[in-house]
Amino acid sequence: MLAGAERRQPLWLPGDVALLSSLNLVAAALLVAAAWATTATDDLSLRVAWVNLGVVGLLVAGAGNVLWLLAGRRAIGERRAELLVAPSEVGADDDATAPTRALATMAAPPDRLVSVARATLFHRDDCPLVQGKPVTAGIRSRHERAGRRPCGVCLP
Amino acid sequence: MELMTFVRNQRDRVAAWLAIGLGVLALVVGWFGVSGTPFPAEQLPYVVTGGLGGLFLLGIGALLWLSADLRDEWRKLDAIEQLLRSQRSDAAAPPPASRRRQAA
Ligand SMILES: [Zn+2]
Repeated sequence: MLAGAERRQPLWLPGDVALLSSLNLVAAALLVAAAWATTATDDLSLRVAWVNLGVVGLLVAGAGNVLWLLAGRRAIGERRAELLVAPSEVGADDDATAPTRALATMAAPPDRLVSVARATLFHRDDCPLVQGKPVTAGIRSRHERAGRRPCGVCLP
Repeated sequence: MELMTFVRNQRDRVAAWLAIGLGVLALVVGWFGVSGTPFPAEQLPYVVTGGLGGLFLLGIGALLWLSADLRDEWRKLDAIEQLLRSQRSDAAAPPPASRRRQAA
């Protein structure tokens, strides 16, 4: 049974979005400032200094982009680890046909953990505290990374 | 229209190509600007706008493209999780011996 209307957890957390956009905005501002300043002065050494500011902006943007992609990679890795178990962890099934064996290597899905938007707790989806509320489902590590703590009633 | 459908479904990849195209354009314009004058002081504005600006746009393009790949993978995991859950609820209904029964 699903509790209320279900939304899937997005790949990137709001914190990731905020970091990416703020670093790229800073970078764009530095680049615009450098572009404007290099034409505003006739002094060669001053112009070189402003070019350096632009390079700093480019590095800031690069750092933001790399952090964003790493956050996405990590979220996918964590989720895959919770969904799929390595074949060696599952007893070999001799009579199983190939498709069933492939499915047998998938773990039982982890308990569905949900949270209400902007709440500080996460719950099992059958917890009475979230019944009928719009919830977002996600794996445990995602809830924990978003700063949520396990509910004291349903003890997820 | 097949092209319109593609653009709608692959919005992030279209944006990625757009950013990459603009970045290359900026690099080319910057190169012409720099080669057009022998004075370093006059070359530097082109280095910033064309060179650094072009690299910034190329970075945005790569970011959008790789993000689209990651989003695809995330959606695939959504589908896998859904499949696992539907299997578990299938398996929960009949007695445990028929765990691997074929769908009737
Ligand atoms: Zn609870």
